[in-house]
Amino acid sequence: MSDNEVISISKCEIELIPGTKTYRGKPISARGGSTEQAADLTTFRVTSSDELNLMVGLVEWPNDPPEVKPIDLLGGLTKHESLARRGSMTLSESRDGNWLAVLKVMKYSPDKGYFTLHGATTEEIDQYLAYNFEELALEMGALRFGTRAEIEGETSRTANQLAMVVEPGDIKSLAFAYTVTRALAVINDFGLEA
Amino acid sequence: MGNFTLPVDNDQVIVLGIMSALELEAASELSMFLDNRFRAESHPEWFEDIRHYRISMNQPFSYKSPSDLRFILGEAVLEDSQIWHQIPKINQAWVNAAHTLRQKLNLLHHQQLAPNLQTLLQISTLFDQVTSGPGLEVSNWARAVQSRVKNILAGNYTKPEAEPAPVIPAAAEEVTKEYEEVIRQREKRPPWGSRWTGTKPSRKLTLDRQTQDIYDDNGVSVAEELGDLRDQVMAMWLRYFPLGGEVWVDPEDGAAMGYIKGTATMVGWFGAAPEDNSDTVRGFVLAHEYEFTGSDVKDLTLSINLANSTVEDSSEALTRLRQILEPATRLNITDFGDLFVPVSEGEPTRIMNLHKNVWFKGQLPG
Repeated sequence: MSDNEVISISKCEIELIPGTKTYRGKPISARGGSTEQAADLTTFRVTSSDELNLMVGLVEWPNDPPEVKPIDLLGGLTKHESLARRGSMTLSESRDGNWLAVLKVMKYSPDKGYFTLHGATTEEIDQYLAYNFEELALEMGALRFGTRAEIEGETSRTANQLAMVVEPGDIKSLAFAYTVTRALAVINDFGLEA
Repeated sequence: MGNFTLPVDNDQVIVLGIMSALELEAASELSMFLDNRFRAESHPEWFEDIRHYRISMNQPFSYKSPSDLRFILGEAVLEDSQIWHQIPKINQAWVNAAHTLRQKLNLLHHQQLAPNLQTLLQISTLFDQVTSGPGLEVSNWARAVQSRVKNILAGNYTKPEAEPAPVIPAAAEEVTKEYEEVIRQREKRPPWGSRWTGTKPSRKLTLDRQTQDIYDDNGVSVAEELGDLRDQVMAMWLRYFPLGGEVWVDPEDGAAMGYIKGTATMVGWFGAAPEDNSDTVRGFVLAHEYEFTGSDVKDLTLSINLANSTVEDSSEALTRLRQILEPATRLNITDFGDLFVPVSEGEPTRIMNLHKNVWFKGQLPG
């Protein structure tokens, strides 16, 4: 049995895997315009009551924004495949030099017939999480939680986006945010009954 | 009166025991009450006289004792009943309560009442209504049970840690024994949409919404195995998994498990469900009373109509009911979706099986 730290969140468990590996690929933010480069990869595994077994990584590029992305779908249901294909989370630097994670949620799109990233309210997330998302996020280590206007003072068209600020490299907070907004949203068929 | 047991939680044995003990106590007190009244009128052979009268009228009479509650309640609600006149404060509300209580007790004896607090509340309310008029002591117990159950359900009662568990009434033994097998079977094969508690079945099948087909682990189409049921099973599973998905099937009987919102759930059968072709009523009765109005089904508990309370269109089911039921027919439904007309004696027969989406929203499991 693994001695790694495991966090239980609703129907999921997150196993934080210690150590950093080298990852080779292209940053999402480069949008195909970059050549393959090496980055630092820290991984965590998300498993669920419905057989999801997904390896996810925090990729820290030398010259591009860090991102949380699926690395390998080791097991799961058909609907979990959407987690392997979509749902990466790109991070940006916050005003105070920490990391800002925008909390979009995997939501079923009736028009497209699959899950894509959408904005969601904390109430919607609280409902499928069956807990207070903000409270848990702060408990996990988030420094600030709210809309970008509230936590970053933004006034642009993205000011109402839900987001949280974490310390750079805080894998625990990021793994939590990824699991709630991606894995648990798909597991709970978020948007499917709407 | 013997044990005055009150529930402290949702313990099935205690709940069943209290329901059963209330029945025995009410039967004993009611028959003694009637016996005293008839003896005061110099009519000690009243039970035998009623028996002879019913037989002379070519009516069925199988009761062997005046303390059989089914006899007392059944006789009391008849217009030509001798018992009717002996019960003080009798009115239509009493008659309705007696009639409903008799049907509920019949369900209890056919292991079709859910052994939970909601049912106990319903039963104890009926016992109170039936026994308080004649001033029977059991009505105090029934009221105490009602009050306790309401408090437990509202979260206003906490089970005492230091106190011993409530005494299981002796009357519970028989009824809980009868329920044991039913409960075991339900755990193995729960109602559709309920949590799957057994081991995971071995045969994995994949439902593909694009090809409207079902494949095994080798990618071979197996939908043809369903024969005439293919469309029905596809439609049922696509209701659960609109995007397609996986189900695991027990090769022995075809029971199917799938994950719904992360929870292993009973999602029906790969093939015909057992007793699909019979009229046997399966499952526990929901604690709601319904009436067919002639054009719609009314939930008498919530005062809402089926036609505008479902997820999917219920007109097909209502059309079928119009063809077979008279207006003002009472209805019950089980957590298996089996709809039936409640009866006071014998086993009820299923009218039809309904998916949760064509019944009142949120009432059937899943």
